[in-house]
Amino acid sequence: MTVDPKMSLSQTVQAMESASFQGDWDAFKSFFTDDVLFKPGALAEMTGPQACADYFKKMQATLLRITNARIRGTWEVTNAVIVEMDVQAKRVPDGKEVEYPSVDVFRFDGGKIVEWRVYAVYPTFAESNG
Amino acid sequence: MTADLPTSRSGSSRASLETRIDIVRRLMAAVELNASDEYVSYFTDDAVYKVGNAEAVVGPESIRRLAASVIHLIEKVSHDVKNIWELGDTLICEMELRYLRKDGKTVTVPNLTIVRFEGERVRTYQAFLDASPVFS
Repeated sequence: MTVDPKMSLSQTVQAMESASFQGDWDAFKSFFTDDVLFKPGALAEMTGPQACADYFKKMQATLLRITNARIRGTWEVTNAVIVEMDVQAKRVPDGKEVEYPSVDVFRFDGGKIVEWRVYAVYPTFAESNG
Repeated sequence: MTADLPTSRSGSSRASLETRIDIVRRLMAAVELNASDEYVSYFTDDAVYKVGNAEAVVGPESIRRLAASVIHLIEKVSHDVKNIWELGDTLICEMELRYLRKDGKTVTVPNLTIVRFEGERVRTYQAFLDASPVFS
């Protein structure tokens, strides 16, 4: 699924995450503006849909494979969606199932995601001895 | 923007004219001044408090102990608030925390805090951040 102008901002986020879980990277990239800013936790900012896709592809291959997100709260405000969730994932090095809380803030421009900031604690959970 | 400096509190007179955003700003200012008595006074007796990976604690005295266990590790902390959304009983604060460590280095960490109110006091406080760069 790609961006549908009839979708709400929250539905757009859900569709983007679904594409990510399925590894459909072309669909995933279609949800972002060309200059999207992506800031996962305390890591450096990245720019552009390809950088987002590359980040997730690498993370899922080497660190964490996200399998689901249990939504605890969703707030849709002017041109932004805030999602509080418990992320469920499998740690790649040892296959251990982990769960961690996260809040993602998505800002939109013209129906596409122009900024995505992730406030998660996963770097510690991602450590295989964590 | 940085949290405004706190003004004096006078118990029951505080609440009536203050918005919840004011209360959250006072919370931040109390942290910056290491004013633990004032800080914990903003929480309900059964408040749930969770910061990053630390175990959640319940109640003002547990919050005070948790804060005390961290505060001696750093010289100073300040809040650079980017956005505050007030959504019913919930406030969502997007900010950067700037820590001055004991070794003189400054570390900035992105943070989002969800504050849920019960009346004029904080019922749950959950800060989403990775603070490991501060202590590494």
